[in-house]
Amino acid sequence: MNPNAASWSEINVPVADEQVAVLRTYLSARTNARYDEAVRMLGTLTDSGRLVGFAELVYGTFAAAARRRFSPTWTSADIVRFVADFRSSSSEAARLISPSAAENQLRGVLGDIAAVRPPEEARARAQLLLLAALSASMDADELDGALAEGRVLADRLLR
Amino acid sequence: MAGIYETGENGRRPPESMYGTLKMWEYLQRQGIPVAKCTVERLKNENGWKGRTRGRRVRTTIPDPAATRAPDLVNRQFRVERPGELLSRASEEVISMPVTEDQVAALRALLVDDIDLHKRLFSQLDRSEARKGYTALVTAAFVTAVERRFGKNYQPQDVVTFVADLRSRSDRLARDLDPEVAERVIYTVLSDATVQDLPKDAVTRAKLLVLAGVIADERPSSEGLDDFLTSARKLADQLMT
Repeated sequence: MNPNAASWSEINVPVADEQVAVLRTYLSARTNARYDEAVRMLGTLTDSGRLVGFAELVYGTFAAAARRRFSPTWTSADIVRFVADFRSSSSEAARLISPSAAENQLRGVLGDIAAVRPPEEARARAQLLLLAALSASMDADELDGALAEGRVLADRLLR
Repeated sequence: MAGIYETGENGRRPPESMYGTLKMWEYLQRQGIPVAKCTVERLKNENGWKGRTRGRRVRTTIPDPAATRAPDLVNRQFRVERPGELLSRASEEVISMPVTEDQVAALRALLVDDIDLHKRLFSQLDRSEARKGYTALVTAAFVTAVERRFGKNYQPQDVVTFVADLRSRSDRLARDLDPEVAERVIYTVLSDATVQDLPKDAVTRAKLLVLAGVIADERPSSEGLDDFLTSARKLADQLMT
């Protein structure tokens, strides 16, 4: 393989500050206006081709938030109830997220080697929605802490 | 062939007596005796003549003399006047069998969490009955239980919460009860959802666990449980006619 210099350097670029800012805006949005701003910022990233690494940042922050919420010990019932509480918050939430995919994602990042890896689309949707649910009860400092840990993990994945 | 397969005056048989059908036919051809292979096979069968074959005879099934034989649903009557008559005649015979006391007792044992008794009673059920009547009884009991639990004014969140509460009772339930299957089987009663694309064993397991969960929540008295099973039995008999 002989990738061109531009695409090769993209693969090794760590997570950018503006990507963290987009995710932070989305996770801390409590009004429609703030949510719309997050969507606009994400659109800007997409249009300018600076989305590489964003999925890894989402995954890293999700893993950090899950460990903060459920560590050091957790049970199957904790996972089941958390996912169910989120899904029962609205009929749309019940429809949007697969309970099996969500539970397996949480189990996976908490170290359960028996967790089944869901299909990619269900996995990505579950990660983002669960991250939103996990961060809903975080204050600003806790959210910044999870984002910082998530960024470290994402940079490691991107190397 | 009789001179080969039957013992001679010396009480012994020649080496060619070990020949099976093919080798015997080839031998006869060499002897100038034109005969068809099927004729050789027929004569051997008629006279009980057998050669010596290599390898052990493999016995793949050993019937249990105590096992109940499958019922003869068509009374050995295989000739019919029109296509499909045999199938519909057999189907009528099976479908019209009502739910039995033994089947109700087996389900009752499961619902009061007496698993050992349930296993013993279930193993004693006739196989064909277990497949039809017991399945109908479980389905009828499941439908009745879900209708009573959720009513007409349910919300989707009620179904999510119920399944989650059920699965949270133990690690085994969290692992064995697939939440999506459980929610869908409940919706087959509450709406027009179907489960035809799901594995049958997963659907049956979900129905039984949901049924057991609803009954466990209600904590009926012994008489209450009997009344519930009586209603379910009536519905099952209707489903099967």
